[in-house]
Amino acid sequence: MSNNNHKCTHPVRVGGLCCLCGAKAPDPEPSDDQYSNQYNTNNGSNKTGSNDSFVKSQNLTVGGGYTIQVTASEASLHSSRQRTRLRSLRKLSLILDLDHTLVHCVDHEGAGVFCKDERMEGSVRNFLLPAEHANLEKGVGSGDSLFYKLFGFSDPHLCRRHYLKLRPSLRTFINSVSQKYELTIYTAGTRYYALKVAHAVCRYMVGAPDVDVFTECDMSELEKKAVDLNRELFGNRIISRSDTGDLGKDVKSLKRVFPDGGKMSVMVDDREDVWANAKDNDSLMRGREGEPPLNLLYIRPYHFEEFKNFKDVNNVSGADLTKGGSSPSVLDDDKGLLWTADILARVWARYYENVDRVTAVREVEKGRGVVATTEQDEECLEHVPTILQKIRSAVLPPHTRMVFSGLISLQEQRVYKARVMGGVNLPRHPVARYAEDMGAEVEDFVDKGITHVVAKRGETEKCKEGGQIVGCAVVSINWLMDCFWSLTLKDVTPYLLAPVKEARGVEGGKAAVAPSPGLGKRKRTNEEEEKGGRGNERNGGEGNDGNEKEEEEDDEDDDGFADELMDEL
Amino acid sequence: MFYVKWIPHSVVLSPVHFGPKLYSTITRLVESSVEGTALSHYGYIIRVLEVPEDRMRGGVIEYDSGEVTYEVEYKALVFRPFKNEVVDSVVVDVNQLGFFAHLGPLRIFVSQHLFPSDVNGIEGGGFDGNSWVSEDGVVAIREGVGVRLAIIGATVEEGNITAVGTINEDFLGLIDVGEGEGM
Repeated sequence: MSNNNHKCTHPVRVGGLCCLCGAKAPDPEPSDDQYSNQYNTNNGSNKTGSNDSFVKSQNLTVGGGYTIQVTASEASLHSSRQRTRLRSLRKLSLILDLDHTLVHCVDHEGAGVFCKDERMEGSVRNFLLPAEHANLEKGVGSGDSLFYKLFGFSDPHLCRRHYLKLRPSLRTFINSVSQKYELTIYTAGTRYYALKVAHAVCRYMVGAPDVDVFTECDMSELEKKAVDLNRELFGNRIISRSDTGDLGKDVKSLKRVFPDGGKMSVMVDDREDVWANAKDNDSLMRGREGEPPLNLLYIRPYHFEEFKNFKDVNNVSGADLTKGGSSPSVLDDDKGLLWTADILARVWARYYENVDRVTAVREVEKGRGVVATTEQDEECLEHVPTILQKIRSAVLPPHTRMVFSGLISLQEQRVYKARVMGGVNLPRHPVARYAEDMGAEVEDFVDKGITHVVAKRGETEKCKEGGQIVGCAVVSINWLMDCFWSLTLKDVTPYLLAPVKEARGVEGGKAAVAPSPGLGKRKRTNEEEEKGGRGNERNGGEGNDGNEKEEEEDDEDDDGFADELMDEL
Repeated sequence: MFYVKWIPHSVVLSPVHFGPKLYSTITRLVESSVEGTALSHYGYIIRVLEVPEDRMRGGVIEYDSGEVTYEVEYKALVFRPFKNEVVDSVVVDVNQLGFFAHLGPLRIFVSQHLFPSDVNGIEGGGFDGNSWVSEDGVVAIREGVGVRLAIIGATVEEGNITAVGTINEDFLGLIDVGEGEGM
C-alpha cells in the first residue's frame, strides 16, 4: 500500500506480491488475455501499469497447482535448470491427459456393478468426490481444503461416487514409460478429481483392492506402497482445471508448465483442439496457427463399452473418426496405450542418442580447446518436436499419394482453398494433416499414380475410380488412423474396402527382387515396381534418419510378401 | 500475529426472523458469514468470540422489502501477517521456483532467490524434482517439513490472504523434519 512509487523490477511474483522484496506490485494477471499480452508487447501502453520488465511476464503453473508470475528471463533460467535436471536423470517429460486417455470415468450409480465384476480384473475403481461446488474450486490450496478433509468426504450430500475404468494395458504403459519419462498430469478435471484418479491408478499399479480410501483408516502395507508410488510417479506434478483459468475454456497451454515450449516434453491427449486453442503452444514448431503442436501425441479416445450409456464426468472426448466404422469392437481390446508406449520409447531413444552424440563431439572439441556454450549445445540438439515430426514423416513409404473420399466435406474444401489462395495460413483438416505429417501427398482427384483412396464408406465415386486403378488400395479411414496412432505402417489388407486390382502379367520373381516397402500386399505392378525401386533408393539415402523399429516393420512386410509370392509360385 | 478485535458488521434480516430468537439468529448469521474469511484492514477471522446484544443497534426497515438492516459489532480472533514477522510454518508444496508453506489459513511463498546460497544452486544444492537439497545434503526442504521463515510482504484483501517470505537470514530455515504428516 505504501509502495505506490516503489518500482520493483524483480523477476518473480505471487498473487501481486514481489517474491524478492515483498513489495506490492500491481497485479498484471489478466486471466483472459494473458496470451494476447505476450504478443502485443509493442502496444506500449500496458493497461495494468506494471513495470517494463513484467510486460513480458508469463504465468507459470507449478506443482501443487499454484500460479506464479515470472519474467521471460526468469522463465528461461527455470527451463534451463529443468533441462539440466531431466538430462541428469536421462528422462524426458511426459504430459498426460486423464479422461479418455488413461481412464474413462462416469458418476452414474449404475456403473457400480463393474467394480465387483471379476472379468475386469480390478480395472474398474470407485472413489468419492465432493460434488462440484464453486467454493471448493476456489478453496483449493487454502484453508478450505481442511474443511473438506474434515467434513466433505463423509457427507453424502456433498459427495458423489465416481466410477473409473482404467484403460487396458495401463500398467504396462506406466511401467514402461516411467523409466524414461517424468510424468505430469494435465487434466480438464478438478484438482480433487486428478488427485483421486492418480491415487486410484497407483493403487491399481501396486495391486491394492478397490476400496474407497476414506473408509479405510489404517494404512495397510499396500496403501503405503501406493502412496509412495504416487509420489514417485506424479509427485505434485498435477495441473487441473481448478488451477488454471483457461482450462474451462478448452485451452491447454504448454508454456504454463514448460516455459521453453516443451522442447523436452511429449503430450499425450485424446484431444488435439485444446492444445491447438492455446495461442502460445509455439506456432514456431509447426508454422501454422491453429494446428496442435508437434510434440502432441494424439491417442485414440478411449471409451469403455459398458460405460457408453452414462454421461462423462468432465469433458467430452476427442473426435474419433473411426467410430462407427466396420471394425467389430471386441470387449476392451484397445491398444492405444501400447502403441503410445512404443512411440514414446522410440522418441526417448532417439533423443538421448542425439544427446550422447553431441556430448561426445563436445568432449573431442574440449580436447582441442574449443568450448561451446550451452546455447550452442541446444542448437545442435534435435528436440522432441522435431524428432516426432521426423518419425511421423517416415511412416508412410515415399511417393504415397492419397485421395480422401467422404471425409472432408465439399464446403470445407471450398472454404479452405479459397482462403489459402488468399494467402491465409489456415489449419488443415485433421485427416489431411495426419496424412501429410506421415509423408503422404494428398490429391484432390483420383489419377493414375494414386496409391491409396482413404474413404469413410466403400461405395463412393472416388472409391470406384480407385478400384479401377492398378495397385491402388481402397482402404477405410481406420487404416490411416491406426497408422497415425501407432506411427507405424499398418498392412492395408484388413482395412481394404474393395479388392486391389491386380495388373495382368505380373512377374512375381521380379517383384520379389525389388519390393517396395510396405505398399500392402498383392498389388505390385511393373509401374509400382519402378516406384518401389526409387523409394528404396530414397530410403537408403535417408537410412540414418529412419529408426530401427521402422525398418524392422518394413522388413517383416517384405518377408511376408516374399513368402506369399513363393506360395503362389 | 493474532488479535482480538471489535469489528462492525451489518446484517440484513427478513421479517420472518423477527421473534424471540432474533438475537441468536443475528449471532448465527454473523458467525457463518465471517468466520474463515479474510477481511481487508483486519485480517483472517479465525473465530467470532462474542456478538453482544447491547452492540446490536436496532435497524432500519427497508422501504420496499420490509427487511431490516442491523448494525452490529462483534469481537473476533483475527490473524494478520506482518512484514518482518518471523513465523513457523509447514511446507505444503515444493517446486522448481521455491516452496509454499501454510500457516493456518495463510499461504506463504518462498522463492528460491531467497534461499541460502548453498541450497538454491548458486553455490551448490538444488531442486531434485521433489525437494530442495543443500550442498552437504543436511537440509532438505520437502513436503511436510517445518520451516521458520520471515515474512517480507503480505496482502490482506477481501477473500485473499497471501504472503511471501525468506529463509535467507540467520536462524531461519528448516526446523522440523516431520515425517510426511503435513496438513
